[in-house]
Amino acid sequence: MRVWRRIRAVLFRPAAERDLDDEIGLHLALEAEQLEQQGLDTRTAATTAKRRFGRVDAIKDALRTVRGVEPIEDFRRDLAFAARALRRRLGFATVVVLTLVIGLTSATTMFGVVYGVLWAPLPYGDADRIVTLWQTNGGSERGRASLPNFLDWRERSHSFATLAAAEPFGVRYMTVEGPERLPAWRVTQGFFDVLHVAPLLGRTFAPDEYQRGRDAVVVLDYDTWRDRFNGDSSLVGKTLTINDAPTLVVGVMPRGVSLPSRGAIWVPKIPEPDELLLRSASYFNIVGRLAPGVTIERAREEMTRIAAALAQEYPADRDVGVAVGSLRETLVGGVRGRLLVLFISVGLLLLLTAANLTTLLLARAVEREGEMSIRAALGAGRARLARQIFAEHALLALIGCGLSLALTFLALRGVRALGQGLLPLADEIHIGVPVALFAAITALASVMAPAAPGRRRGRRFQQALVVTEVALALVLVCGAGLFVRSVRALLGVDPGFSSSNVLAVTLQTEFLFPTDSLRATFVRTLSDRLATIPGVKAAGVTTALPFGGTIGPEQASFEVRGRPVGETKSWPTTRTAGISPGYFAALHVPLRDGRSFIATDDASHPRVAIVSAAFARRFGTAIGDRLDVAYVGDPIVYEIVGVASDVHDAGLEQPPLPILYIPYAQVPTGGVTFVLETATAPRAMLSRVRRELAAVNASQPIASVASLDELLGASTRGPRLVLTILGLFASIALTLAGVGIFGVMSHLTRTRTREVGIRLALGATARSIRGLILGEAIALAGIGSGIGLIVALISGRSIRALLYAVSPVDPVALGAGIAILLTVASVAAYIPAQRAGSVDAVRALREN
Amino acid sequence: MSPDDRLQGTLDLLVLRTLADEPLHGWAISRRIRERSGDVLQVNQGSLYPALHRLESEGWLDSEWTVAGGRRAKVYRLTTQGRRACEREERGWLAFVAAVTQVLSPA
Repeated sequence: MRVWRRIRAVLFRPAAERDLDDEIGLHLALEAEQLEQQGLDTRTAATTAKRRFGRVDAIKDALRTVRGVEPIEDFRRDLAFAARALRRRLGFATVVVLTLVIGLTSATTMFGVVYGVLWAPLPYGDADRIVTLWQTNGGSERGRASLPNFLDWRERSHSFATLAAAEPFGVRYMTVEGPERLPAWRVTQGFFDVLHVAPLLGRTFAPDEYQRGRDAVVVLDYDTWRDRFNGDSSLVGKTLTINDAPTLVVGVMPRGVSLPSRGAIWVPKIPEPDELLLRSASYFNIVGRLAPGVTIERAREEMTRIAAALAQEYPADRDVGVAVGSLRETLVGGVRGRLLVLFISVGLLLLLTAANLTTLLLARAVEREGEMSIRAALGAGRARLARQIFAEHALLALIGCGLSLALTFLALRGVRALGQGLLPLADEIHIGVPVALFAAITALASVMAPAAPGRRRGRRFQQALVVTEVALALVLVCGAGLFVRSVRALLGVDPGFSSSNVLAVTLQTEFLFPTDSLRATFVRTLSDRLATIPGVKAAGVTTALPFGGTIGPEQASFEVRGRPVGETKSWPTTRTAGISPGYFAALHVPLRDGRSFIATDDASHPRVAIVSAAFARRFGTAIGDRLDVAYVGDPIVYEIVGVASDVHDAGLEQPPLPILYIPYAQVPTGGVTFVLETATAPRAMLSRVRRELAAVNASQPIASVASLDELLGASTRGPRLVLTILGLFASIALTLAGVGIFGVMSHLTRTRTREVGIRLALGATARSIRGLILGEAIALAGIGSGIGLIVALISGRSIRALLYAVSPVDPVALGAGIAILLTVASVAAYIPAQRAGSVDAVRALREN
Repeated sequence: MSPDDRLQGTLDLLVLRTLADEPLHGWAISRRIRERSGDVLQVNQGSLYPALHRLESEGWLDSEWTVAGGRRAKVYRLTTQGRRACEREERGWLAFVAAVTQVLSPA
């Protein structure tokens, strides 16, 4: 009852006020009535009653205090007072808000990214029940699965409510401007049950649409629908020309629904007869939904048993295992480590910010001791004064939080743009309730902590602050240093080819050419025409562009003639590339030995091959050796005619892998990339390339275009971005630490004025006084560095996986970090030291 | 020292004692105290209401809105807790008075 009255008093102020008025009103009225009965006239009675009652307003105030309305009323007043007080101290307020905004914006932005990518719910029904299944071949690397394996998995397992396969598949889509290529997934029945999302428009595939003859239907993903079809809501029910066939659009999926990958449409998959038999043809992404009550661990155990059984039954499955991963892990597993490192770094930065705010606010509190004692003497209660300080801090937190959220909004917009192609789920990053809450709580915590009661003004406490700040900054600076070293090493790696001024244009030619020889002719004709474009210095083709991702069959197994290793399945495998004679010239890949391919190395001539130096080393081959290569179809014998230099084609951080080059004309597969070395900016050549392509074959779309510099740059974008962000954090940390040390040392020095005066009086020189103060700062920084170094050494192990060619305990990075911190500490302490040195001994002693 | 000053310290006791007989609203409480004391004790009305609210928030009084003479009136009543407090205060007061009387009375 009492509690309710109090709550009511706070929440329903008007009602509570009315009660007050009524209660006092009744009293006054009754008093006046009585006075009237005693003979006074109405007016006099009323005024007398009031006079007897006393000061109504003051009493009401007193009543409000009792009722508990007071704190809120008071707080409002305190805030207004705080605003005035801060306006008087604009410089101080600005520094506090600025410090808070820097730390808070960094932290909130990182939180927004981490939340959006790692924690925010995925746009699927019961997304944590969705899993992806991968085929592992001997090693741990996850690969795609073959259709027969998928069918056996589905048949034999009980852990999944649904399992479905998706095959990457590009479709040609005719627009008025010409053919375009749309990425697509051919999906088996049940795929949309795994996603468990209602379509934005229309429907998903009906069961009978997974049958031949009824499968001319397509479901669009949101991005394709928005970008290619302008988000036309009347598109469902219309017909598009896809792969030359009229295809009915039956549905559009909501934003963010993009399995197995982004920006791809879905069409029904109808297995080809030979696919049902080829256990080695692995190109299916498998997704599944766990059956109710089944954990991912149990599904893993079951799939391991099934894989073991299949390995017994089918020779092709001898080394095949199954990996089961959660959807989240599959989507973001690659960036989790980096994001968490950045998130932890920003946490350190936030602690540093809080330490700095503590310094600032304490200095301010000391400065105000006079004011506070005057106000206390004038009758303000202790609680009242504490509330006043609380209000000031709350106001600072509020302003800082608001500004930070505005800046975070802009920063996250930048992250979304920067993150495209680098950060999975980048579109899920935005300011929402969790991000705003994080900012508010963090702001309050960092500003309120220094306002909390407790004795914090002691010398020890201030020294501890300096030590803490230095330690935190050192960890960040050393981390950034490690990444600087790592990225420098990475960028220093010679990729083994020249990437400058090379345009790469990829075509997927699977569906246009009925025979291999027609395709080979098309590719050769186009390549020859491209070579004659003015400004093109060299032109060639490859099926495996370095840093270009997979477009064709990339692996082949082989055996060196005369050195049999057993049945085909146990043959070693190698990366392969089908290239034209001009390829090495366009990329400046030097030939170490033997000859390059020539125009006559085609289907009508003996099969020849060039191996990379790593290949020759690993497998001990020489020119003239003959290899049985199972590339596409049955093994065919190739003779090694040359050795090429190594190329880092799987990433600069990877050692060059063995590569087996074969003439494209001898195995003309569907996906092919034309590489053009140009005299000027490569992309400027694109319109001319399109014209040549249209002249050779008007219905062949371009799948993708890139310059090799772009691809090479993109391959190091992740580490470089991490470095940029860490570098930024480290610079902020150094600035904050510097300001913090300056603040604390100034304050400590002021409190030592008397001591300094005595020392001077006893004959100390200004120089030795300066040394005293500087020495203290450097000693504190040294202790901080020591602690920071220990933390850096311990935590270094956790970032080992993110570093290239640099040890996490790299002495250069750690040493440089310590040197930088000590320098910053001395610079920051210099002014206070200088000031101490110029103290007038007589005045110092007299004033104190 | 005027009777009014002495009154302030014992206002709580007077209020509690008055309400021990029957529930009353504020003005009635002040009149009852004046009548009972034979017009000696004039309750300072400015202190009466804060005292009432304080006693209420301590849980010694409970209140209820009724209508008296066409006006809303807040009527206070003693709670069980308040009754106990009243007895305690009364004992304390009587002991105090006895002690003071003893000091004042000639030996």
